[in-house]
Amino acid sequence: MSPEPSRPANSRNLTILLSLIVGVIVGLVVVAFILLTGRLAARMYPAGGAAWRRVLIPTAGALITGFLLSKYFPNARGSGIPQTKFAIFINSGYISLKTVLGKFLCCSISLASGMALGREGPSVHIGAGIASVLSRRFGLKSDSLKHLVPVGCTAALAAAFNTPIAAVLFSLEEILGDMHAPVLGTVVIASATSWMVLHLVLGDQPLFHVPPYQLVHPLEFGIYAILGLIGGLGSVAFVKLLLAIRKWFKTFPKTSEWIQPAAGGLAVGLMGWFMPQVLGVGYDYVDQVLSGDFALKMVIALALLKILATATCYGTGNAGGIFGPSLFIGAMIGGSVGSVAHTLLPQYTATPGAYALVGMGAAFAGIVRTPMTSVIMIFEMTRDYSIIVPLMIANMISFFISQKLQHEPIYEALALQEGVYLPTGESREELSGVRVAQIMKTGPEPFSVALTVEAASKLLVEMGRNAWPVGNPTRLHGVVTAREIEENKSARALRDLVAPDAQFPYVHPDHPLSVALERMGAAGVDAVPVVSRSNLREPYGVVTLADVLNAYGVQREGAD
Amino acid sequence: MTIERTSLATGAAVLAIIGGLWSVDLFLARTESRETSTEAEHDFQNGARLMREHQPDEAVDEFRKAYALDRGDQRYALQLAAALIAAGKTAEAQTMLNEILESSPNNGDANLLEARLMAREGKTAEATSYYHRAIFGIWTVDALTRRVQVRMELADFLASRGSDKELLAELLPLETDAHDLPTRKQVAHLYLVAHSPARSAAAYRVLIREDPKDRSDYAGLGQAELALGNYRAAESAFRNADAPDRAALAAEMTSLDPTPRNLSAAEKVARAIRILQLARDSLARCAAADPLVTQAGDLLAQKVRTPTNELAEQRLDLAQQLWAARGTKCGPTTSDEESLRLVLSKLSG
Repeated sequence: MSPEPSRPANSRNLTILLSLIVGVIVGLVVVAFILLTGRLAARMYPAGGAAWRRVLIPTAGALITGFLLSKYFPNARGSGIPQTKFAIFINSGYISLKTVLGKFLCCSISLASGMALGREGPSVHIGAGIASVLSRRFGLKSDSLKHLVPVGCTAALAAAFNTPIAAVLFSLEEILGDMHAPVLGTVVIASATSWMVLHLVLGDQPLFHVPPYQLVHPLEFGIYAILGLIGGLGSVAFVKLLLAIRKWFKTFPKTSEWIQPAAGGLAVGLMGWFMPQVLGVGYDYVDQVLSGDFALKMVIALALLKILATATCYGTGNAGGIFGPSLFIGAMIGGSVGSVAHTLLPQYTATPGAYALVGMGAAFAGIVRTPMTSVIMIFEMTRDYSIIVPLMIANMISFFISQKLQHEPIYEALALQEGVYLPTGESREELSGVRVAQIMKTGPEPFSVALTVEAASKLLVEMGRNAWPVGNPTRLHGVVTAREIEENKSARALRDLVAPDAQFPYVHPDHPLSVALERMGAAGVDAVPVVSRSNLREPYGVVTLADVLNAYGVQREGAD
Repeated sequence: MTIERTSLATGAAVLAIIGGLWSVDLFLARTESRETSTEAEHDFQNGARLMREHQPDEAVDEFRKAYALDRGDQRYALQLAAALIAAGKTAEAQTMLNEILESSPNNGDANLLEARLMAREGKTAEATSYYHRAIFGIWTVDALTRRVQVRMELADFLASRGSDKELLAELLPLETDAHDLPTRKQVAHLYLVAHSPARSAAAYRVLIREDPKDRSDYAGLGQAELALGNYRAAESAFRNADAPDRAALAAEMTSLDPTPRNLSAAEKVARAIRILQLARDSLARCAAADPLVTQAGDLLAQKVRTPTNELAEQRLDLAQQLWAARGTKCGPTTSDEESLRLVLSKLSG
């Protein structure tokens, strides 16, 4: 029995090779997706085009995608992040090729027609889908499949945002909800590969062109804190509105599902009639705001309209993400706060563009609830270290407010509306807060090595266990299992089954319960000894499966 | 064997997919690049037109669009910065220029724009420094001409700031490097501004030798000769320039100038008395009660029986005091007073 389960070397090599392949293919597909939507949008909205196009095209686009989503690609609806998490946690990493193609097609039409949604979430879903399809083609089992899907997500995000480190963090922080996930190595490989592909095809162009900023006066920290507060409130308003609209549209008959997106298309089209900047992802305008070229009234109006437009587009069931709109909303909120601050205190504040940049991070942290990703992402976009501290202040305040006023993060809340309970980073954190030391039993003694096999077998049956530690109260020899006893009936005493230096599954008192569960699962036992970190043979107690399940609030039938 | 074949087939399929996607990406990237370049060039031309029509605010919008579409073309960035300066959006222009200079610190155009920005903000030392960086910077097209133009612009800037020595330092290389007529004429003129009338006169003489029919050069030469105190030569030059008023002034200067060596003491005293009268009248017009006016009246009332150089100098000293008092108590000099100003300037210099 190995205490730290590991995969065979050739399986690891295949996973690494596949990570590289996934990085290359996902990078190429996402670049194609970005370029294609961009070119299509340019054709839909030529320079100097008539205003009626801004109403007709989103409506028509939404009608087409609504039909396609309803008839052929039901799993391609929405952002793609919750769907990716479904795939990992519920479908063992399975995403069909049809869903990938549907997502690509529907999002291309939807985004090119000017829906106020983003391209990053769909890219993540497409990337995850490609990783899933490729892994199956290479004959990987479901466990390995689940490991490759986050690799695809990371590769997609690295190419879509041009932020390779933030992409890795996002996969760990949001998709897997575990910053110590064992897939770290492979996601880094895929992220770097995909990013290189992006650079080879498109060159070294950052997503946003940000002029260098500097902190003018320490007073600015206070203003950035206010920005975090407003950004947090704006994020909560956006999330609640989006969820309410989505919930309301889900009350309509299923037969109307195909036409529901058209309502979003018409709504955003009417907004676009008056303010064309609301249409599409709007990164051009974000760029303009970051360079400080905007009017205060305009950015306030755009922040409000974009919240409404994106919530409506998403809520009515269109295909597209909320990453891009989050950044847009944040930039407008930041631009507004910065503009007011700079007007009132010109000597003590940086240009409004700096606030727009920090606002992007604050809104992202508040809406998507990934504060670390948000900080690193903005840092990668600007490549400017001086913005980090204000960014962290605003992000953390926004994140805290969002957490307080909107308990469920947006993707989990959307999943809940679908009736699916996804594990979240936050919930995993809560669980990981319970340690083995808190639930282990110190009373029970290990079986003596002199105990006969028959006696041990009887005791196991009486205790309702399939395994138990062997040794004495000061030194462990190992763990004996019911199966070992069954297979070695000729043995007389336990010392014949368990050598003094035998390998055995164990946990330490400071381990989270999830580790105890994983190790019990890997070894196929329902009890593991708790041992010292300095001496694996020194027993502290025993933790059983029933204890762990009790701690999680799950009562196992027949458990003591 | 079968497993190997399957692996090979899978590997080949993966390579084919990568190859196919690569081709699609390259096609899309080239299409995008071509389309955005065309659109950016269109916006750039619109911006350039608006700049020519003196509509910098509208030009900023067009250049901004061009730059957003194609950040690789530095012309767009430079013209945007120029338009921002023209539109008075100096803070944004400064940010823009910092960005350009960070990537291309020796860019001639960018340094020139930065110099103009500094000049606009009254930062003479910084402006001069950026002008020099522009002069010694990289120019992709017609570098020699552009360097001369920039140095000329710097010379004009220094002239406007009254920095005579620095101006002279720029004019000397300009005289050597500049080959076009307008620049050489401007150099000759600026020598005069830099209080170097001898160089100015020499420069004008060269210009007159090359084109004896250009009257403006004679006028310039006349000014230089006036400044040198060569009033007869100035009168002659003004006559050639067909500038009778200036010629008359030069003639008056000739008759007023008390400095020629061959003047008799009597003539010198007579001229000194004339100068003193003019100076007294000039001050009396705005400060009649000034004691210097009374003192001058007393001196003028005295009869000179035996003219000597000392008596002439006594009158000229008082005339200079009167002129100095006039400078503080009265307004700017009038055209009628130009001869007096010039002669007293010569005496004090």
